[in-house]
Amino acid sequence: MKPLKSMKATTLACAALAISLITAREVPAQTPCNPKELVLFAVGGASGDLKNEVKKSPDEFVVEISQDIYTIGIDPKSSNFKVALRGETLTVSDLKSVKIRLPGFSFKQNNPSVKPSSGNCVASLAFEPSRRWKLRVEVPQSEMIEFQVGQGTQKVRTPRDVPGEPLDWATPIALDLYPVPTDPSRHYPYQLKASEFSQQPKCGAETGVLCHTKEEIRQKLLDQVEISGKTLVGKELARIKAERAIKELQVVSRIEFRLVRP
Amino acid sequence: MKPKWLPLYLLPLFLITLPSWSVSQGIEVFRVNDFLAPYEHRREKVDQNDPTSIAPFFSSRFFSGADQGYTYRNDFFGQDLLFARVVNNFYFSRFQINANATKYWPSASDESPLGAQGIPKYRFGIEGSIYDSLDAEEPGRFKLIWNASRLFSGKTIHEFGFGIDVKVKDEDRFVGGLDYSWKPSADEHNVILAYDYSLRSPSQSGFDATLGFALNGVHNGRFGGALRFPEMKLQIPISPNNVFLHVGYSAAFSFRKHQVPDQTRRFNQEVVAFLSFPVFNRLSQ
Repeated sequence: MKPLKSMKATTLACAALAISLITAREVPAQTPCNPKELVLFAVGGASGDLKNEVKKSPDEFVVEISQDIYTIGIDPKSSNFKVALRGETLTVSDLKSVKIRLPGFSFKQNNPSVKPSSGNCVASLAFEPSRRWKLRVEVPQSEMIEFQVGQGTQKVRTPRDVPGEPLDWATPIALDLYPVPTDPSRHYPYQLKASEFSQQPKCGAETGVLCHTKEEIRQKLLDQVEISGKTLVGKELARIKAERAIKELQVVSRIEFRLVRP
Repeated sequence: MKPKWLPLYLLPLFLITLPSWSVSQGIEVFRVNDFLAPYEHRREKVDQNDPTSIAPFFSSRFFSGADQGYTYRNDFFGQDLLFARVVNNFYFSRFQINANATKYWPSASDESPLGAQGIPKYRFGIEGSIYDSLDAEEPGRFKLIWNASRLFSGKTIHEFGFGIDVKVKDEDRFVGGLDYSWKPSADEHNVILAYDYSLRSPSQSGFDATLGFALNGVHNGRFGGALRFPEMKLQIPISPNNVFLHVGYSAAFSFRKHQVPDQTRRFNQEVVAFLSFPVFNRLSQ
């Protein structure tokens, strides 16, 4: 039994040594220090959009460090982002768990660093922003319609933010709208991109809102009707009949589409 | 002078075409069928047995384009031309009135012997039709035709005729017709037996493609004739408002042994491309 005990003791000692060596290598990075500011480097395609957005609403870009909320500003000298800290002790682990927030964006952070450097303590973090969006579909007043998202078979009712998970900015949302509450067989597809909301507002709505008026809804429903006829004149007749049928439908007065920044 | 053999000549053609309704081919490649069964413009909210339940329908359509190797019935002019055509159709009860006008701009000048003898400056036509059923989905149609053509020579040629249109089989895809015309000034009798097969079901929207042939018999002192095959037409929608691009091809071979002024060749290939769009449509309430 004795030799066994001594082997066990040796193994434990080796393990302890190895752990101490490994931790010893991380010591400089994990050395807590008290940085005055945190420098944030934005990398990736949406960095420009992020800066523009921060300029528009500077108070909304924040970082949560150890349950404290800090506003992130733009350093006018370097044009990087920076956060003025309150002298708290920071470690790399603290930086790994920070949460950066701005409505309409998601962030993936990497390369956290806290280093004492020539008497100062420097904390930095790189992050990759990406734009995210959702869509709110609604109709005015108490009217409601049903619609489907993408290829899904489940219909939902307005008002509603879709889809459940925010989408990348470049990903369009495809809808199938049912604007005639009394006739669920009438519907039309509609696809829109987040970038369309920056265009000139239509039908008198404010910026960031797109809409379909009653006339547009009727036209879109008509476009869905298969105009068939045995001859050319038969097709003309079929179109007239289809127009009349659409005119008699009680479509909702308007459908609005709002950009939601999750 | 009407030859005595004429009824015998027509009889087999009548028998062949009895079960069908007509197509426009065989006369001019750019003509478009205007057949509209009365049940198609029936009012929905009235007594279905009431003959007045068929809502009057007016349709006016404009056609314009180019025709290379223009032919009219069995006349091969060997010319290219531009044309513009307006066709007005009024459908009421089991009746139909078609009034059409066509303006031709042939490549030959006014002074050209060909232009002077064959292609008209313009042509007016009136066709009165009667459908044999108010309810049938594929009724037959009988029509009387009068055409007046003003030639570059200053001469006006009248044509009188009739046509029978009936479905052959297969959900209106296979249709045929017989068309007879008489030109008193030339004492010329023309008979056209034409068939068309639609490559798409008529209930489908979008483009249409038809394949057809036409057999043309003529007598103006001597017998002659022409066979058109194949005659292919494409009708492609280019806007949701019933604007169409039409493309057609027709190959024709003449049986005429003797040379006539309008028959410049034995074999003819014709290519047409034109646009058509609705000018005015009105369906009574």
